Amino acid sequence: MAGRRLDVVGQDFFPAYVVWELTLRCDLACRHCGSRAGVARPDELDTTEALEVVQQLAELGAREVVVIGGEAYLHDGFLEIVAALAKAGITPVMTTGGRGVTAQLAADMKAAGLQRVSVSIDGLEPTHDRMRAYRGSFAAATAALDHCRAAGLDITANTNVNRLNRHDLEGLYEHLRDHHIRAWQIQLTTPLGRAADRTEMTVQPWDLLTLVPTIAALKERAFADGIVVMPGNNLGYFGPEEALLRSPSRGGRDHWQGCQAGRFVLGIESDGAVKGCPSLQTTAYVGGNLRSQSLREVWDTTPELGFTRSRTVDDLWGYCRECVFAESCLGGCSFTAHAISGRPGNNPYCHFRARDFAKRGLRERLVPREPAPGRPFDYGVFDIVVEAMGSDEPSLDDGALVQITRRAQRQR
Amino acid sequence: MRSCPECHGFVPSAQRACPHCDHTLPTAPAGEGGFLSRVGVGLMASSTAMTLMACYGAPCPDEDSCGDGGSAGPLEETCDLMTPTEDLGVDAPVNVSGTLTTEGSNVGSCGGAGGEMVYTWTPPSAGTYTISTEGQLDTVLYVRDAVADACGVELACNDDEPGATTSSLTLDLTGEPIAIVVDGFSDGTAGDFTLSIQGS
Repeated sequence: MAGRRLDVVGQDFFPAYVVWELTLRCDLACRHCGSRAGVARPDELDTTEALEVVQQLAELGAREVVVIGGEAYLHDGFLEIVAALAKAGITPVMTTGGRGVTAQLAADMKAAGLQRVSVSIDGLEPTHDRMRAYRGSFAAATAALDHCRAAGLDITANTNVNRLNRHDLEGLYEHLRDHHIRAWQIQLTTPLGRAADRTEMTVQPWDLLTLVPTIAALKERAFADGIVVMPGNNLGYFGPEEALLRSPSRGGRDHWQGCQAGRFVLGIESDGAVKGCPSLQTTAYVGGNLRSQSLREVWDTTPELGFTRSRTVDDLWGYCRECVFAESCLGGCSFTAHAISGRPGNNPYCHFRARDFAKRGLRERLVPREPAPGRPFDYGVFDIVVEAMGSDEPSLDDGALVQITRRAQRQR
Repeated sequence: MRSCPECHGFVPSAQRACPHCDHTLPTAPAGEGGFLSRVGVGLMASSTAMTLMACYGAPCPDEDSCGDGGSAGPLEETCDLMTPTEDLGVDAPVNVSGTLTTEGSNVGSCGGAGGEMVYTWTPPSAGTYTISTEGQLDTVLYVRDAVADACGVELACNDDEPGATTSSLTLDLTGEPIAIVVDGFSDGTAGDFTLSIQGS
């Protein structure tokens, strides 16, 4: 099957890489979950409808579909949908928290045609269990890796990095290596969904000054171990380590080339809503629904899917508008920028930008201004404040995960 | 996009100086291979391809197929969506009896290592409400936002009310659903309790 590496300079856009939320139902209530997963959406696609979507994906040339949730395995038709994807010539992959992945389920997934599993592990045991809000979730996620490997699936891992777990990365790498992962994706926790309720948890832009080199060093180390470390779309951007970070093989000279949402990436929510990327904010980026429109129609005709296809430097603003890398970068990750300022085109989570401010003895701080309303893939609004490097800031304490930001409810 | 021969960082073609280390790069003469041909293989940047990624991602394992100081602090709240909940409706006052067993998987910010009962309740109107436990058990009581599910943000937590091992919370509520968790203080806490909700 064809891979996920594509010439992105071309204009023949198609949904090569699809992330499909089969259900929002989940067996974990992670504190940083962008979709606030837990309870199923009110009107999710059933198995029959999902199988029809598989056919439409095949017709549009999809190469790989990552099923997610919630937990994808909590959808009644999970295995049937995986089998249909494989039969249609699309590589089926799953991202999971792993709590319910037993040896039997792993074997069933393999038999259905699932090719690869990425288990979300966000730190060493205390940190992971704290972020996942469930004691035992680290052990379950680790067991899921082992079950999937034993079943013959390719196993990989992914990690949301933030101020809670950034110091766990090296130990976590060793743990994942010892459980034989083949690849590891690291992305920034973005203030989206539940993470927007806990803003002390997310990194500040200047944290990238140490975080990115740390991850780059881990990537060098991982190459020697035969493991590929890749950054998520919202990590990096044109620091000195950009080529190392972004290239899947040693010595590569890849770099970020702009948000691919709606160009070669597609996201589907469990009720049939279609976005250019699974993490994009529902209210602003849903182009249509598969219950009332065909996927081709939504892909080809809706501005919500096409917003990156015609993006130029003129669409950027703030620092990004004047950046020397603007033409290549085009403002970095769209959903991340939107989660901060309510619109894309200016992304303070940028390594080059943080270094540029630091050269001048300055840094940018994100200060919450408006809370998120409390819906899946929602966001608040932040002010971006420029201040002297080394300015005082509130410390992250044990109360940081228990912030009440949406309503004025309080204990008397 | 070029590469800086000094620091190997990327340099936009229009830039003379490396934006990372300020090293001055030669200008490519018009009509020639310019910089690429002179600095040789390995310093030129930019393939036109990239590996597609997404958050919630499953990374490609190969190119072909595609707390501070190390401590996270003490383990704090846990919330298990698989815990059954009992809906107490939208009325007040409420008096309901329950039984705690020793097995549990929810913990509040102020404790609760034992088994728990989880209730959902919607205040009949915005206002001030007192939620409390009665009985002989050493309880921990915590309340969570339940607009989406019973694992929303914790709003308040109480271990002991003054002079007792029972628990009590007085809260200003907006009228949106909340989850009320009656938890055992320790993993040996088991027995009967009464939960009451009173408006004021």
